[in-house]
Amino acid sequence: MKKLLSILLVAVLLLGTVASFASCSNEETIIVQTNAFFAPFEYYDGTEIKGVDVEIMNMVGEKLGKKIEFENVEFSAIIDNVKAGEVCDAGAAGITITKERKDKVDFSTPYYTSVQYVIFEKDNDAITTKTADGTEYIVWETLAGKTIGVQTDTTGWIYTDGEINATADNDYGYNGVLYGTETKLNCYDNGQLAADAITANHIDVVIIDELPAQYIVSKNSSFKCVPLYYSGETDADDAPVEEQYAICVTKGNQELLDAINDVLAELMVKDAHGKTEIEKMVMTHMGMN
Amino acid sequence: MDFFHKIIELFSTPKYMESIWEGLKTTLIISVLAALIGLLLGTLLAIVAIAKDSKWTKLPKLICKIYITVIRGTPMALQLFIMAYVIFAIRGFPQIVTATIAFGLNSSAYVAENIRAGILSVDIGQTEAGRALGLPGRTTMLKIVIPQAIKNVIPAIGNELIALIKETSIVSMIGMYDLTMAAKIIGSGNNMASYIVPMTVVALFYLGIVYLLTFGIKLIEKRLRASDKR
Amino acid sequence: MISVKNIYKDFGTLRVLNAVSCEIKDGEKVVIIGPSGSGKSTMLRCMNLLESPTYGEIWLDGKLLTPADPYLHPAVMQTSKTYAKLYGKMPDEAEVIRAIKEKDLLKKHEGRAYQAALKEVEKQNQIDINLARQQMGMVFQHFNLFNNMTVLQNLTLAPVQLKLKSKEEAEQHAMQLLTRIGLQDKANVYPSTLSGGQKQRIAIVRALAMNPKVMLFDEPTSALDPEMVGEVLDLIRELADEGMTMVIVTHEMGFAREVADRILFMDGGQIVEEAPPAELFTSPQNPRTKEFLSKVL
Repeated sequence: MKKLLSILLVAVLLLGTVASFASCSNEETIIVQTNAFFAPFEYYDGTEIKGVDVEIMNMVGEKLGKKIEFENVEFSAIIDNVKAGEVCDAGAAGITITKERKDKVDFSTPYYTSVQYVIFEKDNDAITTKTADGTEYIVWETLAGKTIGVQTDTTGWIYTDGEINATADNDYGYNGVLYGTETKLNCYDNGQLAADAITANHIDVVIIDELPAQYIVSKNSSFKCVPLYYSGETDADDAPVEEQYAICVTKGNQELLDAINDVLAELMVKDAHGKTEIEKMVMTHMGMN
Repeated sequence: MDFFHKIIELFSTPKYMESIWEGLKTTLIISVLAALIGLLLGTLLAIVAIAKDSKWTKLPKLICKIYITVIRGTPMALQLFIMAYVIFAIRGFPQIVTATIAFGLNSSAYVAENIRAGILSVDIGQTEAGRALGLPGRTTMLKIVIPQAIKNVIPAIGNELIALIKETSIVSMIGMYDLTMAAKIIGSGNNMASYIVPMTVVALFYLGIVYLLTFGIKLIEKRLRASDKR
Repeated sequence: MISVKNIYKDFGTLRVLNAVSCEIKDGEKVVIIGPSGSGKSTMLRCMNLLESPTYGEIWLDGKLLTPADPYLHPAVMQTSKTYAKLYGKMPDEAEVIRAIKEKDLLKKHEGRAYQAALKEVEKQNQIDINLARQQMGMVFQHFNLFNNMTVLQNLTLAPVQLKLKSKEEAEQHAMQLLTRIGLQDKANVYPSTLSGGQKQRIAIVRALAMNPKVMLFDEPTSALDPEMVGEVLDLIRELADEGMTMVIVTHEMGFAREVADRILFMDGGQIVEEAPPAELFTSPQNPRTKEFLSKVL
């Protein structure tokens, strides 16, 4: 019995190794890393990863005649893995273009513009600013002294961290809006965990990208979300915190980058109703079609 | 109650049950294979650890000691991370193998310590009596010491296996689809959009597995003890 | 039968045996007495190498059990570098040998010829320790029956494992031995269900199952309740009457006097006095023997 088990074990390990080297040598597969907790761009539907990014990359694969394989990893690991280029070729995870990331990887043309949103409990909506035309938003200043939750290494985290810690003396060259206030920052593995932390009274608000924010709110009746604004001279000058998503590849992989850009160019063409294919995909994956 | 509503929703949605089933498979595969590696390698390590001092055993014993110290002295999560992102940073390398090896190696250090302690807990007089009859050291070990050590070791090994099963929950850290990941997925924004219910349900699954294992260990212990008083 | 030649035993810095020599003759019953910590158990355990002597040699029936001790072989010493160095500075060979012995002058490296000479002595005389132990039965203070085996298995394990007997022969012999001590009905029980006296008697017949030439008893009654001492001593006495060679370490003075051909009194790691029981118990010569006997008798 024991012998049988150990033989079995060795067999499994060997198989695994063989399988791995088999796929290693297979140049026809493009491995794309993502973090499948960012609907509608990528999410698990049962055991399958779906989403806008998956559709885009599958079209890229078709164009190049290669197989696309998605791998689910921590969001914070993607940029470094793509940079090294050993375990994967590309990262497609609704990644915002930032200067630091640009130094490490090559980005495609941006394919979606997102706004940072704030999730909070409905009862707490005194913190919002309402304009005459009915738009409702939150400016950074009102978050002073609160405890803010974010997903580690997302732009929500980068912005919030910047506003709390940036000073004129360090790299930022300016004082953050929340600098010197007693504002606290809590980091979570994903947006949902951060949202649950509001329910558990650990934090006051969550700062996260627009679409995941709307998702979470649509499923939790006690939450509300509004866009996050930088405050201007007057209320009319207040402007949303905007960012652009793109797909990243290992530096120098021009063939793949070109193919992605080609696909994106096709998808960005507006139809008769002024809508792009990407926008339609977003609606489909949000179940709003 | 919203909570119970959501539990019913979870169990009645095929997509969610499929997630749990997939996660359960991964958790069980990693646990079983890692336990096997742990037991085999752990036994080997224990044998080296209790070997008599001589110039041939000096180096293996030192390596063995360092290995056990390092593995027991560092968090499992970091070992898994190093295994996944440094050692097996190979294109397309199956994660299940990475995780199995990481947990197997981790478990082996604890198993080795348990076995070593179990063997040392057998009265030295048993060995002396065997040797005094002219039996070689190996025979004495195999026929007299180890059968008695096993009885002392089983409960400790059982504890280690339980700890192992629960600890596999951190494989979601490297993106693997285990039970904990299933809970995260079911709880994510596009599904139930709350972690509380799926996490609770998955906790019950872990409890179930551990309970079955505990039951099995009790049976084995009972059988071993029965030979004591016949 | 057994020759103990000039053995020393150190436990760390503590010297437990200090230049002990003795000779156990065929058929002789030797009892070792002495205060606790005197080294008597260690000496017994050195005889079958459960403890390895630090220096000195143990011989069984003309066969060497321990590594060869150069100090006991003048011919070997003469091949050493130290000998070569001292030779000439001293009047004669015997003087050199004595100087080396007394001052413990031999080093680790004494040249190739010396190593070869030492190896040769071992090659000529040494016997495998497991083979030697088969001829020496040992009985322990704490019985040390194998807890994971039945009584019968305890008796048959060694003969069968060592291929001295077939399983059937071994079991038959074992049953004879058990019948002899009246415990045949306990053949299939585990040791944990037995009384101390029963355990020790079974431990004795377990040793007998190997048909040993000599039996070593290490305080066989010290761990027993008083009412069970008798049955164990009776069995040992029986064996003695049958002519078995024995070395017994014990605190039972009455028994020692009755059974022994010779008593060794040990104290401070040395044999202080040895004599037949009648002599030693009635007119001890050494003051330390007198003091000890006055306390225990």
